[in-house]
Amino acid sequence: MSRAAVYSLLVGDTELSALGIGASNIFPSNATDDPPATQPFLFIRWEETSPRWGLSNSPGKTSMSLWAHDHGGSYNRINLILERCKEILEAASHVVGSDGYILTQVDWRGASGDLVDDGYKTLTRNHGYEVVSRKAPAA
Amino acid sequence: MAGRQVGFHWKSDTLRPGVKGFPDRMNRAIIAATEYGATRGEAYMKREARWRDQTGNARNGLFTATEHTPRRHRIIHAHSVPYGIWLEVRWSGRYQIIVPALRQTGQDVMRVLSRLVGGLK
Repeated sequence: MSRAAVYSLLVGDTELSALGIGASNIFPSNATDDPPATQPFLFIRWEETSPRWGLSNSPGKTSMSLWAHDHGGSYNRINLILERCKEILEAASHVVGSDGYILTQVDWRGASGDLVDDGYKTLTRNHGYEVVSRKAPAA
Repeated sequence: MAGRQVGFHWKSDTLRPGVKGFPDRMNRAIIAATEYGATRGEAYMKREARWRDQTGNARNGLFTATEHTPRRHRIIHAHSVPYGIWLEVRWSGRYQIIVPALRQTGQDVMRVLSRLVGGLK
């Protein structure tokens, strides 16, 4: 899976930055129980990987979801953040990550409804993706 | 000179009965695949749920139901405990199991259906 490529695409985007999302508030899943108390934040949740086309030597496809959280009474900023993430990821192709994996392609798989996270005490929505990636060949 | 006639006769018609019975066999195949996927899906949920059991109610309460109508076959994965929704969404889905199970079940059903449809005659 191409964790580094996805993270770098999101953390380096100026539109996301203008929406309050950057290096200090993009987290891998389960990384913190203490996210920002006033700012929006984003979790990247990587799920299972399965072989593409049923072949064990094919590039793997990994389910991934982005969970955007915000405080207050509106989902507007959450929607803007998730829509911008979708634009970035769907446009991404063959992005080499610093972890040695290459992101080949990202397919959007849908969006959740409006949710409440009673753990973080936030409003939240999430978008699901399938990420195709492969290990970079040894130099 | 007398003309020579060449022709053939159908001894049996296997095509039309085969085509006529196809929807029924297809429907039975889908039901079989759906039931198989549902059984595997429930086992997957109970095995893979990522929370640490306290009473066991949440894990034991995970269940699967199927519905079959002439035009629709449905698999439902669900919690029985009232706080199941919070397991799904709390802390960005840290303990979610329904959505991963749906993905797994979908793949299982499609894999079985591919084999079954390929074997229909």
